[in-house]
Amino acid sequence: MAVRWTQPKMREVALEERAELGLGPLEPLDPYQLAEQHGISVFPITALTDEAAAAAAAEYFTTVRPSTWSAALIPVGSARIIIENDSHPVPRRRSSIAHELGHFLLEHIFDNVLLTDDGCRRFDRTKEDQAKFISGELLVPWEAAKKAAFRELTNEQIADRFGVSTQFAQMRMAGARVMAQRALAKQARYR
Amino acid sequence: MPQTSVNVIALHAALDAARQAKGLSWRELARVLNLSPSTLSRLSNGHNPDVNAFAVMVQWLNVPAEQFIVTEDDDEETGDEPDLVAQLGPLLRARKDLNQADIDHLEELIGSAVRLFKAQRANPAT
Repeated sequence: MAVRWTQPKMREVALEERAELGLGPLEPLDPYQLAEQHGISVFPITALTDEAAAAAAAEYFTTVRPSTWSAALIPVGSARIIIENDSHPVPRRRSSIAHELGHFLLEHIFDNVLLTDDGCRRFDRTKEDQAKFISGELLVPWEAAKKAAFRELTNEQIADRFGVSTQFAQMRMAGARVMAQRALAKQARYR
Repeated sequence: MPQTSVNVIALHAALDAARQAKGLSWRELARVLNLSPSTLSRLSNGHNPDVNAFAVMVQWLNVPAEQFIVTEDDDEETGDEPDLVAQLGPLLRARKDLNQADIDHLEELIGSAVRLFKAQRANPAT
């Protein structure tokens, strides 16, 4: 059944998942470890070489059409597996895996393969927004973003600390920086 | 003496039916059972639960544990699904952001990943 997800509920799920891995809100999360925790196998496409056609397909998506998709969540009966385009930079791969795991953790029901791609050209905007939100909370939790904003860390510093791209860091920090600026401005008024 | 194991596919299906009847998500069911959500995810992905988790699950289902025990002599339920790529092909073709070459190559990769996954599940030691 479809759960009505709010941002606080999704944040709670992300914190629960991080806690199960023994991580506090300020520590970096390895999405591959999270996949393993849930028994989800992740297959990089360059490892899919059991048949010549599969190897050719991996070559196609690493050289001819590398931007078509980053990761896919595939149903196999009750199981889920992920295939990922491992020609992409590591920070992008990490966020793609976290995004697919987001769909899984939020128990999104799909009949199709879920493909993460550059332009988020997907069918269900709400589910996409939810997966994007929880992947952000998994990789850079709100608590960490707030602390980083008060310490005025740069996108590069956050990207480095949490293993994400600078664009991802910017996306995660936008709200936290606005909040920190307002709080500091308020403090200054009362001095 | 034949070795026994848990029929995880049947156990997962029974939990799925019961939780849906009660209007519970998997995460809510985990809370009710006082198990971690990943214990139930791992079950859905074909991993055996530990003895305590198994006991909690069958107790909640209110069915004898033996119902989910299989011996190596039993005709094992394979849980084979219909050809996945054949199932997914029409859905992939419906996507306007993928051209025909993309779809053909994706089908090859999905087929390969599923073969590898099933081989690993059949023989976890490899």
